[in-house]
Amino acid sequence: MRNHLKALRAERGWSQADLAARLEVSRQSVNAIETGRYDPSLPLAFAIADAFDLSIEDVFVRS
Amino acid sequence: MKPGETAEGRRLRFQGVAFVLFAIGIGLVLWGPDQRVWTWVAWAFGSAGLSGVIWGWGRYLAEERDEYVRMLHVRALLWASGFALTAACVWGFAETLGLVRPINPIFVVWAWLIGFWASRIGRGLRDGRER
Repeated sequence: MRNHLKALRAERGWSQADLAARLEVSRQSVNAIETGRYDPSLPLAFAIADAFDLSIEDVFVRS
Repeated sequence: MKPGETAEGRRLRFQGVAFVLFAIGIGLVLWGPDQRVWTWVAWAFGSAGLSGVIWGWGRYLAEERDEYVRMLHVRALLWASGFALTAACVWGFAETLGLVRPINPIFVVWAWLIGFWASRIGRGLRDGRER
């Protein structure tokens, strides 16, 4: 599963640590999701979409 | 959990105490007085310590809220358990067939630790390459 996390973070000027703090996960987790090494669970994927105030389809893309 | 305390911090603190108990047990087995009562003390310390370490892992997995970190730990625990079980079976078969001499079963603990750290180090190296 691909995602637009890096671009969305850049638009908002957030670091991985900033996003991790908003999601209450480690920066390691954000890095793993962003680089495609880990596909998040549905609750975490929704939390990520909520953090960007977007729908889940706007953040994650079927590969 | 206390405010500000992480599941990882709690695990490390709890397992630290358990490892000390285990080390005391092993120390008594190796260098303790050769008396029946000390054998029981060594058994009690070693068993309580090792049980505590395993219980600490179970509690940690239940408490850890970061799903990616939890997944990494589950993977390392599976690698460790698989490696230790395989090593014990391979040596056990050879021992039953008289091909090797019996060794202290505590080697399973060291095999488990080798499997655990091999998984953690392997993951760290892969993460480093992909970052």
